Amino acid sequence: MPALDLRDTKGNTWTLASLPREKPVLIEFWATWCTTCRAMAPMLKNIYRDRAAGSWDYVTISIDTDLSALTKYIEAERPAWPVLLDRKGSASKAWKVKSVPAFFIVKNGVIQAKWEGKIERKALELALIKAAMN
Amino acid sequence: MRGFPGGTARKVTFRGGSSLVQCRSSRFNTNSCAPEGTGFGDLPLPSRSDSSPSCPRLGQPARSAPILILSPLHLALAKCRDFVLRINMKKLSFSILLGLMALFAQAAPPLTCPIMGNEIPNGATSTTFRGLFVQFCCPGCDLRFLAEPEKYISKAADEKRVVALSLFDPVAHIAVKDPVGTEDYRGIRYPFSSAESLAKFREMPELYAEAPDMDSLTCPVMQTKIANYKDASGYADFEGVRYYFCCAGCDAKFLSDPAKYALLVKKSVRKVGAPNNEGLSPKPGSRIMPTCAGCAGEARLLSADGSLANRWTLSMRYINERRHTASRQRISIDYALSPRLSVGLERSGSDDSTGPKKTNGIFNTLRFSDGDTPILPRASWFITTEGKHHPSLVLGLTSDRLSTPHGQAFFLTAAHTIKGVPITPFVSVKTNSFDGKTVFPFGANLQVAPRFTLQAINDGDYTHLLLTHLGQRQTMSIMLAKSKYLGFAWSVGF
Repeated sequence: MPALDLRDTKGNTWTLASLPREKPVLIEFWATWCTTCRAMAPMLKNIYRDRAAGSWDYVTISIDTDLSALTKYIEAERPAWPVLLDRKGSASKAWKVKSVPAFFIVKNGVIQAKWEGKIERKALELALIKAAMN
Repeated sequence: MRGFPGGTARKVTFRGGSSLVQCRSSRFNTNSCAPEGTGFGDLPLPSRSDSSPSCPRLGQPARSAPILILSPLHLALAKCRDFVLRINMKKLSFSILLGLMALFAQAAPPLTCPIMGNEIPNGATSTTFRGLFVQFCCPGCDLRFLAEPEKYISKAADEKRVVALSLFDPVAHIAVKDPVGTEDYRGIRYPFSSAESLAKFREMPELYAEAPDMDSLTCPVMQTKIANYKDASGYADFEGVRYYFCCAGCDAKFLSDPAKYALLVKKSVRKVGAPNNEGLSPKPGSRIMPTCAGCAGEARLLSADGSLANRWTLSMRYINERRHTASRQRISIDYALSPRLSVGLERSGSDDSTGPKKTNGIFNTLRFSDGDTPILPRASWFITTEGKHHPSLVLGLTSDRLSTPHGQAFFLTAAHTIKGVPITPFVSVKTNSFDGKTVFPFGANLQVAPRFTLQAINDGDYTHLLLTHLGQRQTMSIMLAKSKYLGFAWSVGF
């Protein structure tokens, strides 16, 4: 598993040990300037809201370097999930992220699935179910 | 007989002075009594086998009523209970709340030096860095800080110390002189211009505390250079650069078309902490030789890319003492092999009348002894810099004492700054080749003003005083050698 050592907007430090092991965690690398990310945001918000309680977790990692844009976005959207800040690009480098949005489903300390770019809701739900069964 | 609606009563007096009135209470269908004047009307009482008297109020006989055996302690507790029941709970809650707020307000930790961790003395050396105001316990610490500022702020954050004051509200992005509140986060104390800003920050501190790696101290709207972060009215971030403004109003203009204004000051954008022409941060190539042995000693200033900015130092010293045993002038050159290890050469000249005199008129007074005066090696190695619980240690080779015409000495010096005061005492052990003696020099550095230190040294024979100014590239000292001979020392890094 690639390394993770970032802080979220609330100042909490996140490492690999912070990720729950017993359920899938959907990790998304994104940026405010990424139009695909912004286009997928409503779907992700809905799928997170509609999930069965405790079935999976969602963590996003912003690679924005423009803090003003990021601040405006977060103040407007008020995401209900942790937003980690990777301004220096250490995490995106460790996780070999070439483009955003980039998704990883992690469970039991193993990357169960990964892809970059747009994904449909059904395909995402299926991937999460498969990861939960592993 | 407070609390007794009725019943027979009698007064019983106990040893210790307490007394009680016993009577029958129809309200509780039991005989109960209370110590006189206490109001414990409904307490069950121990039995008493005496014959029952009559209640003075109702005239009815008291039955075998329990008697409350009370002591002064019980009376005191009874008094307390009455008091408590009478307290206005709303007022008490408010008072407790005020007290707790006062307690927490006073509990904000004092700022400490980011290098040494000491408290900041009055008149401390200070600097500004990416919108932060930072103070230090002694000179030399500021340059060490500016060489690796994020490292020291991060270290302070891990140690739960506050080492810097933000000059700006991190949410509103404006300079704050009279904050409505402050919040400490990861080593930095942030001021807030409004309660709303403070609340937003507390919700997402990491988001608001983050700062770009590049900034510009030229107002993009007015295109005027801002001398110092302290003079800026506020800032705005755009595409990874923090732009500071000269006055209120510029921020709104900038934000109306940031791309246009950013382009106008493109050339002023620099990496945060890098040197600039205004001298806001030390220029590369500066070499400081401070007298605070604990704080920096042989500290080297690093350039923006982290490499040693300069390696050479030229030093000269002249003491106006004409005795033949005096080493009046000394010139040396040092080369920094690493931030902690330097080597060099020095030549001391004495006014030795036994040697040939130079006939070159202009240098006649600066006599070097005969040609046998060697050019000697010198070196210094900072084994360890000063820590919270241990002194700095320097091992070195240098010329012998000021009072000797020649010779060298090995020395080991330990120094540690006294907590809370800008004084660094030091002790040494020195083995000299001139007379084979081992001496124990000692002394202290005192920061008398920003960039000025006063040093008193006893070299084992004599006491010397030095007043030194630490400049960006040069140091200059006025000396009083052996407490009576004036001298002058100068060094420059390049």
